[in-house]
Amino acid sequence: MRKHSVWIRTGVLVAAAGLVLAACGSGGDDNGTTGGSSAPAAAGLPTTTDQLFYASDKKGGTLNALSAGDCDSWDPARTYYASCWDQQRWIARTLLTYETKPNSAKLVPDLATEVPTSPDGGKTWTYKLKSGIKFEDGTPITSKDIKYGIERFFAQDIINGGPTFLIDYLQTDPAYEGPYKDTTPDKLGLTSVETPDDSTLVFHLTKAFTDWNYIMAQPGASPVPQAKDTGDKYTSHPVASGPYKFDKYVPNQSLTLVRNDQWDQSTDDINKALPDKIVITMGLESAEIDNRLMSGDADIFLDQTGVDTAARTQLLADPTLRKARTTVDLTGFLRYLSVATTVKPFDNVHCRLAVAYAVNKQGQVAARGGPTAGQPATTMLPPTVAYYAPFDILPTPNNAGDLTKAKDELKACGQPNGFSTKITVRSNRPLEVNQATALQADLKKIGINASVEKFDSSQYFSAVIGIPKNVQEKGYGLHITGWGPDWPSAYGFFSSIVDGRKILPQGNSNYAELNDPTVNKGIDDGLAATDDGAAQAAWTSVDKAVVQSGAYVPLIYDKAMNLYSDRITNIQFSPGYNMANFAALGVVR
Amino acid sequence: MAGFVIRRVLGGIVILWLISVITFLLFFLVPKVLGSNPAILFAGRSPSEAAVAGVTKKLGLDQPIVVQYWHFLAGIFTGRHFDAGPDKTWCPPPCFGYSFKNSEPVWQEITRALPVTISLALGAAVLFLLIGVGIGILSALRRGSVVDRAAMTVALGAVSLPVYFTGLVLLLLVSYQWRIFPNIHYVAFLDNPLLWARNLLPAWIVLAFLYSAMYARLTRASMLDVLGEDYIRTARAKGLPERTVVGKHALRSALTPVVTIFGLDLGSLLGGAVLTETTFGFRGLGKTSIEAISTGDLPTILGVTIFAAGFVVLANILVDVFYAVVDPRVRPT
Amino acid sequence: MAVPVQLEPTNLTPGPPAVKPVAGRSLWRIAWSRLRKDKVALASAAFVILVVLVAIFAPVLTSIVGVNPDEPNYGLLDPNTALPAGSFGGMSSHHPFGVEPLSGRDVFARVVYGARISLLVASLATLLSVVLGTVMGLISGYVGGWIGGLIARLMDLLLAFPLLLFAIAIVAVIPDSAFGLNGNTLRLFILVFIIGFFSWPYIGRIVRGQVLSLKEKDFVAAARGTGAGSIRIMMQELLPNLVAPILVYTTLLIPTNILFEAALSYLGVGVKPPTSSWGDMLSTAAGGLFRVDPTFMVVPGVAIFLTVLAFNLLGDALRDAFDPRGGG
Repeated sequence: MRKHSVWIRTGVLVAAAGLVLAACGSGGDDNGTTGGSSAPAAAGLPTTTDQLFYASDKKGGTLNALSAGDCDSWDPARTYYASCWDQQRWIARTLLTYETKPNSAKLVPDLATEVPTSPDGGKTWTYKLKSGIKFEDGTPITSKDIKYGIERFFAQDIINGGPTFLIDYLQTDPAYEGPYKDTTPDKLGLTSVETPDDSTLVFHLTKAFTDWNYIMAQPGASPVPQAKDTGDKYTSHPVASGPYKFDKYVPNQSLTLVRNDQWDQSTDDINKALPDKIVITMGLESAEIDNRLMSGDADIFLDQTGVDTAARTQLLADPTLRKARTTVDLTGFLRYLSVATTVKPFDNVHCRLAVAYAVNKQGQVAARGGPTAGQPATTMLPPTVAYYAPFDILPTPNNAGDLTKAKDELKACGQPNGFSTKITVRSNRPLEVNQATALQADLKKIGINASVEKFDSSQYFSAVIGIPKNVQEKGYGLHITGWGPDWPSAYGFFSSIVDGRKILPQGNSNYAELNDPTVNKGIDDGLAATDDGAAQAAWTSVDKAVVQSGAYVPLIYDKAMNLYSDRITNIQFSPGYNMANFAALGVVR
Repeated sequence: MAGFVIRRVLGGIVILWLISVITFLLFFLVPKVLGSNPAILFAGRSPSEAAVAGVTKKLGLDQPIVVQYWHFLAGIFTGRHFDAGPDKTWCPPPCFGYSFKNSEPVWQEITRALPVTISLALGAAVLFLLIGVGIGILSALRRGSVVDRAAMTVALGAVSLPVYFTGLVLLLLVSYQWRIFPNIHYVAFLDNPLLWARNLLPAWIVLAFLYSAMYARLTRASMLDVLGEDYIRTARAKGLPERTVVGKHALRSALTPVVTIFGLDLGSLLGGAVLTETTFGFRGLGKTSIEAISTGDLPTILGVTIFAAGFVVLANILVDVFYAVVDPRVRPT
Repeated sequence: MAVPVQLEPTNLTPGPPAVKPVAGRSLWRIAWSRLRKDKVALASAAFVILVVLVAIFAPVLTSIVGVNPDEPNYGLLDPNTALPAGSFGGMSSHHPFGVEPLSGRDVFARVVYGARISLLVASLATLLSVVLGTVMGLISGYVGGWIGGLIARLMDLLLAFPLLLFAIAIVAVIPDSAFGLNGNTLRLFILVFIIGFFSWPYIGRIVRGQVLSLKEKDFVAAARGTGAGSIRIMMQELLPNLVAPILVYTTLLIPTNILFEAALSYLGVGVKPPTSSWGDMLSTAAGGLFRVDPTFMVVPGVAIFLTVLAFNLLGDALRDAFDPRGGG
């Protein structure tokens, strides 16, 4: 579990949803209207987190979808973008998936007949397949096809880029190296996954893991036919098990999906497969994306990162358009500052807290475009994640920073006159660069001179802040980053970013290298908790301990304002991906 | 003459080869020397050791730099295999590298971007040649007149404007304020010639505005030089009609340097109008390489840069040959 | 093939050098008397001096106005959109050019500080290319032979590079600390080096051409007759005659380099934040803000335009003034 997966966002468990949304709906938006402007307030915008818009069962038409860039991969084993996982559901079915209901993170069976429970506390999991399921070429899908799809993850030299949970929990001794180096005749040599017959899969995990079912709802739990596996070129035509299949694909330009005639509606309770055809146009500038949505040339922006500043201003000024065609949702994504505990003087907690007090979170929100882009955060868990509990243990007036307290902390740290450090940020994320320069100005007020170091996003996590040795050697004290978990649970949120036992020499996601016994113990307690009260207490203690350590400073609960065409149907929020549920969309009202 | 052409072509090939060596070293050796591992850039967002090792093997990054370069160079002519054990990838000739980010040969990316760049460059070239040379000739013939002064003032202003600023102002006005050209994006000529032209027109105008100004200034200066030459004065003194003097004698010599520069400009524009493509969001060669730079897609940067340099070198050769045909005196160089 | 390759954003004034060397002082006197009568030249010279002064005294100037280039003013932003409150990008007597969207930083202060970066990089880069170009041009033209040929080919080679792409790629592969430098110092060093290094062949070709024609002249032959060495002839006989054309092309190279620096910043490889530069401001605006806050785009664009125009006008006037054919 070494993935920072900034892209994967998550939301809320059904149990916690009602309360959480009520809380943030009333409290959250107030921050935006303090200036007393005559412009329409952000509050009161339609939000898909609590309802379904334009319900319809009508089939037909072409869904015209847009995206800023191509998916990292269309190979189910190599994709790690939330939006791409959401899109995968058009072509690939998984053992389990998320229920099609607004804001529901409930898992339901897809290829499997039911959502299993583990008989031994999370070490063994057994899934039975439905009958009548087929690939696009008509071959029946068997348990071996799913096992083969999972085995592909182990060929990390060829199949890489995807999450590695499967390897973390299924790796055997001696290590399995993937089907391409597999010497067994049927290439199904991974002993931790058994296929006693064509419709049964048994997983024997190396350690107990109660969230395993969430992993089985990720694209990795979809079948791949061994006969059609083309190794690292599988992305150019993954074999469909879902309602649509590849028709024409030009990388970075467009993808056309047409109906898969081998998919049988009677085996699928989840996909309604309303449009006849889906055309994804890729590689567009944000201005053009907004233009096309506004004019009705396109129905949806698949990245779901919201409209740009220009369109946002236009939409806020146009109440009709705003009410009928936009949504503003918390994305379940937390933007935070990582303060490296291994870089001097941040090895001293007081120096870290000085930063935590100095930062103006309202300024951070402004840097991203104001209240429709997010709201100031005081906890690590965003309000959309289960076991979120509101608290503010390092309070500053109006979240705008407290210079007096910050200077006191500096004195306590033995650096009363400040010091110099470096802020790292991704260069091709202009809003994150804005955040960095805003932070830089805040720190200057207490005498901390920070330089902003920009890195290409392709290297930022892998080669810059994800390698602790590099962080220490280069003295990267502060990292602008963000996180959304890979599946919607507090464990999914915290496990790889704050657990001191998961600091890795390469591909590290605990960027600040926080190793706090309270945090570590809280994670174990939360995972082991058998009732809601205990779990709530454990996760809140983790959250508070992290904030109190100053190693991570929560900045913004991210929001996105999305625009849709005037014909799209069934817009609803899926906490599994923290965006609209693509599989439900249609285009005939 | 044939010898001259052959020497020039050989010279061009040597220059291209040097460029490929320098570019290759820059992208594959410099990061290594300065301590970063190019394999990490290929292996996904936070790669495991195994993933990095796999990519290293596949790209041949563990081999000596000379061997790596040889594979790259040979690949352009013979194609290339990227193999790691049983996993095979074939990059057919002309193999300008293989983009592991997009899982396709760089040549495919080049051929996809090329029509965009060619549309942009040729359309703009037609406009700025007609306008620029026309104004230049007119200005020279009416030297000192109101027309001349106005044209030269505008031209000087135009060459002082960054092309992206002009582009943004034009986009703001025609695309967003007046909505004459809404929704600008590249449409292939064969898909819809009208939309192709409509969407490219603002970018053509922006490029033509800059280049027309340069060509007007150049043509004017060159015309004035020629009109001051003795043989033109003689022709005039002999009482030849002005039309013959200008049309038959002056234009031919005056336009020679213009054609020279045009050849080079076109070569350079075909290599990718980086700023214009970026501002208008057209994914031509320029924008493709900018994106490749920002995602660290080394094979694509390398392939596109060498390909773009090829255009410039080719233009150089053509211009030299053209020069040699028109003016035999330059041949010995 | 003595013509510069055009780089898309730059616009080196093309055409063969109009400056013909004339031995003696009279050329300078004639040029000066012509310049004094040229109102446009005087006005552009005055503007150039003004911009230089603004750049040098940026800290004084901004403190008089009472603004700071790096200080955010969130109170000046519309709380819903984070765009400047008020019309024309939040212009007011306190913030004459308005404030930056999303941060409220003062645009006047950022433009004034941007002038520093622009002029600093452009003038240092021009200095580098003039020195390199003159030395290489002199050697190539005077020494001739295989060395001269090699230098001429080297200039061809450099001009054949897809400059902008190559420059960006270089910045992209150099890490945040190298050659014992880091941060903005390193970045400025790289910018000056790249721009200067890719522009010297422009000067080099002009010097080479001049030297080729000068070395056939009588006074050079005479000097050679007295037994003067190559270096002495280059320094004492040739160089003084090259000062005028070098001056003219230096003046014309500065605006080209200002545009080059702005283009690099526009493409995201300029100086690091929070240091402001004109190209970077335009790049921020190009991200979509220019549609809702045009002021923020127009101000840095006009700053580039006026500065480059002034240098171009001055360069043109200098060239005309040194033109032995006179008139016009």
